[in-house]
Amino acid sequence: MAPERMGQGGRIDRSRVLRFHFDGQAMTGHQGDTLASALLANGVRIVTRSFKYHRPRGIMGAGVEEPAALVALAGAQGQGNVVPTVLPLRDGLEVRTIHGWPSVRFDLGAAAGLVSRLIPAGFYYKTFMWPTWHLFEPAIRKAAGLAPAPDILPDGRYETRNAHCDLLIAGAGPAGLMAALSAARAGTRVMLVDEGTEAGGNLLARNAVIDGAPAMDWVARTVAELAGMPNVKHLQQATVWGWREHGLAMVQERAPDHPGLIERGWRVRARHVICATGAIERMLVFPGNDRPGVMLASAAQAYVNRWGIRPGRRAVVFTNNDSGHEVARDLRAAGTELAAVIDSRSGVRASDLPLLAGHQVQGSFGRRGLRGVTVAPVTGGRSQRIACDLLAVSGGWNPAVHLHSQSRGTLRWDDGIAAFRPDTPAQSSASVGAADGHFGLQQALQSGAGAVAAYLGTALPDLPHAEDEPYGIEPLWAVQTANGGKAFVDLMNDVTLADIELARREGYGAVEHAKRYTTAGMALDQGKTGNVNVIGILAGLQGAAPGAVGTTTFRAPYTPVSFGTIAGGRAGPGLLPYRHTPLTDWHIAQGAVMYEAGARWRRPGYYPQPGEEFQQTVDREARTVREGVAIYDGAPLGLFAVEGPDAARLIEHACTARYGTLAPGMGRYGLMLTEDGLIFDDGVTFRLAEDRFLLSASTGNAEAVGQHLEKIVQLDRPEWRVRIVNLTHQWMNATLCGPLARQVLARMTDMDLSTDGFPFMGLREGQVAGVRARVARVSFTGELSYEINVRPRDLPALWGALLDAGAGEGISPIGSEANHVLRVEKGFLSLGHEVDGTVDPYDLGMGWAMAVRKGDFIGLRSVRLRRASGQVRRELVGLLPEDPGAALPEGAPITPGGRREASEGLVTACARSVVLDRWVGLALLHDGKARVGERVVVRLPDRTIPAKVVAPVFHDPAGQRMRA
Amino acid sequence: MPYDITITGPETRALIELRGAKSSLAAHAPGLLPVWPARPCSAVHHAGRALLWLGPDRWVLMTSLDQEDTLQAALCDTYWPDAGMTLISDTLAFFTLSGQDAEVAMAIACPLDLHADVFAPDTVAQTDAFGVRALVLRTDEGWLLAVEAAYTRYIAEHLAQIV
Repeated sequence: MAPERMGQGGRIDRSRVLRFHFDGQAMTGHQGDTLASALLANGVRIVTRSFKYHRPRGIMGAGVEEPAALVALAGAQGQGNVVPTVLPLRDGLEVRTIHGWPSVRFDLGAAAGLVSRLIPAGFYYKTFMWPTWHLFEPAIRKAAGLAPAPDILPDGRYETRNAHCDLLIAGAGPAGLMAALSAARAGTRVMLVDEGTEAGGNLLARNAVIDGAPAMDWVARTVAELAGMPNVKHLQQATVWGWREHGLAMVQERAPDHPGLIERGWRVRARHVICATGAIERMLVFPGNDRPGVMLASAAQAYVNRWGIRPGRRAVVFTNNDSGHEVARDLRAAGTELAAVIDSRSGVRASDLPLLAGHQVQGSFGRRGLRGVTVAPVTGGRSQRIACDLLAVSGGWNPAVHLHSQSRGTLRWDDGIAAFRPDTPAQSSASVGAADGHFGLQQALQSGAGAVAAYLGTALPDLPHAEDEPYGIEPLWAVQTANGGKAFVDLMNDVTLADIELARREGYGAVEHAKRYTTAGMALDQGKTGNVNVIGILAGLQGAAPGAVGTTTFRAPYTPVSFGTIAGGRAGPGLLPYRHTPLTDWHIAQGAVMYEAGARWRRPGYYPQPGEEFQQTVDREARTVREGVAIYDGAPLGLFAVEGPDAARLIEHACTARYGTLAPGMGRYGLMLTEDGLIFDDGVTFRLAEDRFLLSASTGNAEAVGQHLEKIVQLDRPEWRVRIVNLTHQWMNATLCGPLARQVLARMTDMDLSTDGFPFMGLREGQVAGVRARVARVSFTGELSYEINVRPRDLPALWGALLDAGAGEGISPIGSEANHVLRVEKGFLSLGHEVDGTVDPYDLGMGWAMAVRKGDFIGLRSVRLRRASGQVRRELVGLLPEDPGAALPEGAPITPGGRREASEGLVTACARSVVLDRWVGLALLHDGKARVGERVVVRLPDRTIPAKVVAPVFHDPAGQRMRA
Repeated sequence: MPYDITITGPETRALIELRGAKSSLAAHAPGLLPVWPARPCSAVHHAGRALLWLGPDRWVLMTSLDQEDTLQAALCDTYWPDAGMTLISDTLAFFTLSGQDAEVAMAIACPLDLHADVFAPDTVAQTDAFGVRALVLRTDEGWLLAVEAAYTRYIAEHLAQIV
């Protein structure tokens, strides 16, 4: 027999018909259905095949606990691995089964069941290790059969919103609603988040009564009152899927009220959190407990009461607790023939039910669906067969402690409910209702209001009246039978009772070990229906109490979250926060290839001309600087104003060079060291006046340098009278460089550009191209060079004017690639290349930058200590490959003789020199300075490159050209 | 429903960073500054100029760009040992957000609690917007969102996506 839709009842709108396809077959459902309820209403019993053994599986749950059924959505709404019990039915859904070939009804993969004895838990750990696991991995993954990611991008976008509240309530069941109402009426900022399509929690699935009327009437009144309160934010179809430190909760909203949004993520910072997350029913472990037609009792009840579906014509209820009895009554009231209520407890009575107390289900039968069960006394004895097409199973209830536990709250075992419940919170929070182990309705209402009263320090408000249903349970962790058959503990991963026993025998008896050995509790459902059974079984095997076995770690997400929701708006152009100079549009218009060049700045790498290869472009640009004049976008260079009576003191403290003696209008190159004497940054600092300096920092390090200086001023030397202002974005430079730079600049300014009037390392203020400018004579290329700093808004005009002025000299823009060539030829250091966090100034041959006589400065003591140790250091050298056409890959190791031994250095940079017409490199080499003239070998995976060690400068070693 | 938001910008405003004691700054800028904000992280407005209190001894004077030259000449071209006044107009790009859902856009951009009870008009904060450093000011009409000018494209992309 198949499930069927009842003529009346449920919370669906029968007047609204929704059409969908399931594996190509046209079906209909109603507004208010989930995909699962619609499939059941259409008589679908087999929805998928199981993970490992390809056993037919049907729908077993009615919510997030669903452990078996996964499907995929195709087309524009494509999504893999969808849990049909939580997906609201939509018109036009294209649903596909994901695990079964040629179909889930007839699956050749089911042959795996024939060899199941050979593939117990952990078999692949033992079997597929030789020659390598990765050889087998693709086939095993394919056989496991989860759905692939959809190949069509979704139509719409995702969004992440921040929110703050006094009280975040997770769950809008009776306890959560009562808490929200109490808090909202007290004027508290409340955020109420519930995973269902409508509020009510388990009241949606039960025929409960509040104040003498249907409980859903109270729910509707409460929701309406909350909706009218400006201090309440109420989200449905939204799940608090993670709870992090400092009250940060992550919410996935699956049906946001915005036409362009697919989903919305929320980052909620709450002063206090109330977990009203309810409880999750456990499965019972017995042979054949996965057969289509076996269903959680609470799910069967929900399908009857909420969706108007009779999930079977003739039902057996198997329970170890009182809640199964209520389900039995609801099934009977809905017209299902109640064959028997099998209760494993011996002392229970229910005169209105066909009760077999002290009995248990020992197996089920039916080839493609349930046709009956075998029942026997728990204490042993004669078994009997009972025909049925629905077996509703209740193994007891677990408080949904996931959020409480994610927040690092502790748990304790409660024998009274045979489950773990929240113990000590780690953050400001409370668990209420069933989430705290209070399964009665009146208890839920009271605990919801009570938690708010306790938090706010107010009196308990008047409560609506409801009855507490009795709840008693005697744990039944597994039905032990001699007749074999697979008894599943974790249906999602096909983990059986035998697997848990095997894990225990093989030494994986600790609950975390058993989880990893068997995979119980992993994957999409995270073991919501099976984990506590695993713990109970392990406890039985160990002769310990479940509380002593403990739980595995609860981790986010509570339920599967789409990558889109996690990413939010960070996609496409918004993925990374790139910085742009005012010249970006010009560079792009000229065809520049743009790179990220430190600190997320996008800069031109090179400007290819038609017909040019990459190297030709770089050679041309580098040669332009060596022979003529070029222009470079230096906008991102870090720049700080350092002012005040103690400005010189600060700079001398932070940098290696001497600045107190610097004349106004002049600059000096220096290094910044870390406390441990390693190079942190470099740059030129200019003195504008007695107490005023401009300190430059490298592009990629500007932020860090600013923080470093502020730390000194604010924390280390607060008594110093000095102010630091970041001017990186107030002054940006275009760098004019090359031997013809002076004559081009002379056309645009009335500054004295003569060598005496404006010497190397000088700084002059004045007008260039009609705008206020600061011009610095510094050089990163080794040629005559002027860094012309202007306001960013003036930079495009200056740039254009320089290009016009230099047209006669053949001026052209150059990119970072040419700059790299030029600085390698000069042996100038670069952060991230030669400065890799391990070198001090002497390693790079820059002892001249250490003004050791000026007094102490940051890093000096550490440098001295290191030097005093006499240990061999890696030192900067130049490399000339023996083959002039051989490039040395940056980062490549240098090993003794090129052998496979510990490296003695590495290549830090390599470029094709335009002045030497060959490849040259820089390297950090053990004892490098003493090895000039030696032959070293760069070792690559497939070859070696011999090279000669030379001094680390290949062009104009005296620096005459840049001082010209 | 789509969001009801109007976004304008990016825009450059005249900005002068003020560092030092209030008494020193007031002495060096007589008649040029509005009254001092009464509480940290707030702004006062007077005669088209706003003074934003951003740190213990740190303020930003904000006004329209047409006043920049005047203020620069009066405040920034002179050096005082006890106070610093530095032109920083180009460092920030300003976006203006208004409309019924402007606060929603700000909640997407910014992790701060922007509820009116907490972040009243004329409250200002240095925070983060779409993951980069930002200055946020609530006005009577909506919001001012200022970011490092180099991030203008990035922020504009995000704001356009919201709208």
